[in-house]
Amino acid sequence: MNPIEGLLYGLELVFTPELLLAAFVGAAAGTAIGVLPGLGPVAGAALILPLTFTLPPAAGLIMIAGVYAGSMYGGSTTSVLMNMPGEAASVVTAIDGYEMTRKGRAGPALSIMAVGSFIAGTIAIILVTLMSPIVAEVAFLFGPAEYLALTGGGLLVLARVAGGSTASGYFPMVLGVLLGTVGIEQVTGVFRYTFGLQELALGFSLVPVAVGLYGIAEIFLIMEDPERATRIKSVKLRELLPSREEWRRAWAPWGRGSLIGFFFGLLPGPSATLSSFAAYRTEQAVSKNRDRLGKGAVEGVAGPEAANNGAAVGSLVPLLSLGLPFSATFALMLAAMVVQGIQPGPLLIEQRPDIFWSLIASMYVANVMLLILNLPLVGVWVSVLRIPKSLLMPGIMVIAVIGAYSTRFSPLDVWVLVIMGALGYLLRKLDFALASMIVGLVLGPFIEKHLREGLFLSRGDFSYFLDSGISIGIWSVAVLVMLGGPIWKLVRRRIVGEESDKVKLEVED
Amino acid sequence: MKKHTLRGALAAASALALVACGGDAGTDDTDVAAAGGDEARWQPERPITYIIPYGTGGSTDPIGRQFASQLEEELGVEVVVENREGGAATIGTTGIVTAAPDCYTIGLSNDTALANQPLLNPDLPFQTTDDYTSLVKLADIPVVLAVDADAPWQTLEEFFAYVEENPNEVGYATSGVGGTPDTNAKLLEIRSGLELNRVPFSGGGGEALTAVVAGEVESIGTYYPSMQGFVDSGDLRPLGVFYNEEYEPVPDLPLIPEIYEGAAKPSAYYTIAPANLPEECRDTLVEVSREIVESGEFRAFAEENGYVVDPIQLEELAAEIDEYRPIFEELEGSDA
Amino acid sequence: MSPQSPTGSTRAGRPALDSKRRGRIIAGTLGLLLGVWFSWYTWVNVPFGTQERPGAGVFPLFVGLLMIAVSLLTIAEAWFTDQVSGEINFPKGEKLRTVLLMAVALILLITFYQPLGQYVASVLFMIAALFVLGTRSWVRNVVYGTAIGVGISAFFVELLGVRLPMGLLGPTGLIGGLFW
Repeated sequence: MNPIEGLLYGLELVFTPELLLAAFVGAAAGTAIGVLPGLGPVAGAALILPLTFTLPPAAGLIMIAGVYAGSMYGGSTTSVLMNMPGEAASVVTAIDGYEMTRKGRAGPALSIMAVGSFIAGTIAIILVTLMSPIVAEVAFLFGPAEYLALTGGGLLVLARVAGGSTASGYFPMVLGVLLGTVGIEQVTGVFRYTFGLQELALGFSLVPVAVGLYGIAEIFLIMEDPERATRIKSVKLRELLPSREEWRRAWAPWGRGSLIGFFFGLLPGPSATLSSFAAYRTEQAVSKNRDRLGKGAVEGVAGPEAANNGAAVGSLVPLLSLGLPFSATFALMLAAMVVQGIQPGPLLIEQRPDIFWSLIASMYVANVMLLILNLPLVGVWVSVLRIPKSLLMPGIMVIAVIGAYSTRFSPLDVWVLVIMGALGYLLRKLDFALASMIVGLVLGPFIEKHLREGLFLSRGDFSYFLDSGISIGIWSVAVLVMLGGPIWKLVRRRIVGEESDKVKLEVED
Repeated sequence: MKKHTLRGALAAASALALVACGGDAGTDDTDVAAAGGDEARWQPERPITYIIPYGTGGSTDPIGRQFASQLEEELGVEVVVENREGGAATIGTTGIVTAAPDCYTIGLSNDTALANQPLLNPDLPFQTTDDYTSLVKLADIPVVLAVDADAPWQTLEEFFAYVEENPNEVGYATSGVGGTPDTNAKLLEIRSGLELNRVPFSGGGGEALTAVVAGEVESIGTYYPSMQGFVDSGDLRPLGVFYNEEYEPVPDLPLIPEIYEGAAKPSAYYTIAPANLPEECRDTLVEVSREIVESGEFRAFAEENGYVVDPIQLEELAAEIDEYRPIFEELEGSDA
Repeated sequence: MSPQSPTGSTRAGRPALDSKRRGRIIAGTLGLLLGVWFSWYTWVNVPFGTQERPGAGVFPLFVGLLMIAVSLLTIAEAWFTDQVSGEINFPKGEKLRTVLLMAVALILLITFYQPLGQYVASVLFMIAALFVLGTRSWVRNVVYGTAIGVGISAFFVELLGVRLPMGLLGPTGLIGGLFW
């Protein structure tokens, strides 16, 4: 069966009332969980997973797909409304999304996200359908050397993703990498920097760090300066929908974001996070409105949101054709499949085309459901901002504490949440870029892992890391992007003169 | 296997004699000869917590959940699964061992957490088998050695012969230093004098598998279910198994300990509880957990997932854990 | 956070060090101390392995040295350039009181989170927060605080089935023990 027939066959299988209901329930539950600060896709899928064990295979999987898509979207919703990313992939959305909210454009930002996620889902599904057999092999082209180039180069490129001065980006970034080394070491299992605290062995979990740095700090900033918070007077339909200009500006970032996301999805590692940051960075480099990024630009929301959804769909390729789950949520999905007696692997598409294509189709249906569910809900989410601050702020704090605690049932995480809140407050007062710290914390452990793996593999030979065309290529691009910006600025300054000297990127604050 | 079943049966019989109770109401799991009144049977009054020291959806999660769901059926109360991952299973295991000894908190643990980790970390609250109740062993799962299908070695002998002539040259991908696949290779190196280049990949992302299928590393040690897809598709060739008896999922696979004696250390999963449980509930848990592991449902689950069921309990189980300690000590002591 | 202004730092025509730049110098200094301590601790305590089989200390040592480097960069940037400059506004008066009281309430919440349990701790926190942030109407604060605290807790515990600490209300708790 060719891919098109396969997809149609899959859609046919999926269009039953039960499966559509499962997709709807999954998307709704996912969104509901995702909008709670501190509860993201992994928490969402983990909560739903035991429930899916009791459902028939297709329904269970479609529900998890719905939860995944829903919670990604929900996580970004809080980024936009309250500067409180639900997970790492939403961090970058907060930069421009929250600025849009402060300008009273929360509704358009959410609509752009919802439509962007759907478009990225569609593009990625088409790519999966047409290219699945070919791109499955991409993961085999990447060994430790290439992954080191990707994560290490990514770190260099993304350190200054939020703009600001050199130190504003690199100082928090290295701090993030440093925090990432705490806990049991992944390759040899050595406990380090735990100081006898059992719970520190797990390291710093991203959720309390991100919610603390952003959310808790934000609440205190609002408390001391109520003007900072947005006031939504009315929720009129016209104000919820993007203007014609905003639509127009979203198209190109959607397309670029989808492709970037799909590509990163093919690879292991933090693909959703990496791709959303990479999409933002791409917009900084190529968008016509790059000067407006960081100040509430549509592009800064459209690109990353398309990318993280593209990555979610792209990750289906290695999951289904290799049986390799490249993210925590997909590990849960794999678990759900195994419980149902399905073992994904190279032969899945031949032996169980029904499962393969219905999964692809179900991912798509989940995307459609999400759009149907969330466009009407935009008004509801925006109305959240109308809740009196005196109720909303402590309520969010309670939820953040629950979120931090429930990720790993660790009281330590709750303390991390509050300490990071204090750190985030101070760093923001000093104009350091918090997004860079998250990048460091996410990518640091991967860099160490790939570096060590590579050294083990090559018996300590560093030249191994520059032994392949792919890794040399990635490093070149990274260095070019890192140095290219300043050099270009310098050149432009010479040409345009003193005028552009005043153009200074602001940190997100 | 046979030996163990026999021992299991003996343990079962003695447990029965001790408690003189059995036949559980409400289920038809009666492949254990059990008779007697219900008066001694403990009936929990609130939900029981079953701690799994691994993440939700991890490769070890299902066996714990299988046991917990059957426990729920057997006892007729809700059994809540709590995943507490990390620290090579020591965090969850600490949670079980330090819980109130009231039979309302039990959980899953394994041989490395119980026999190896105490050697590395003297602060752990489970230093000896007296620090917890060894309720039942759920299963063993051995490590299978496989090579990239494009590699020249067709048989285990060819592979070992090549490694012997070219020490430290052949790569062996593992899921991380100290994990069971790595431990088995290290044990093999000690017993045989061979030298492999053990490359630890980390994480459950199947990166070790990818590296072997991509040809980046020549061989791999891992559990059969995770490699099965690649074996079926012809990308990997299993050569042998680190196990003392025939491994049913791949019946004809050569046994590595037949060539190098003692080179086998399967991963083993146990259900444990805090020490000093009240006698009444302890006896009920001991009995119920044996019934679960011996049930047809559990066996079917094990078979499907490459596990080898081995329902030994209490002193016998504690003895197995104690037997593993010197092996781990030897491994820690060697600088291979 | 507000050190003595180094008078006479305006030499060479540079503008005075404002509070943001001074703050960043302090942050850089703290970072430097962290980097030095972290590198030392790694050197002494974490195994380095061999080049063929690098140990757990290699990468952290590199990160520690990098921390020292970026801290020096931060100090230098703040000292010599005005790329990031301005005054830091910390809250004053009434606002300062609000912020401090809420910080104390939050710390109390997490300190007593486990012993009191989700329901009790969040209700007490909500009531306290409403007194700090909201009106002074006693009845309103208690009613709203209880309703929101119980609502949020019930949503997670009962609806989503998240296992949160039950504390006093749990089966072994002071109050819950009477009912279970």
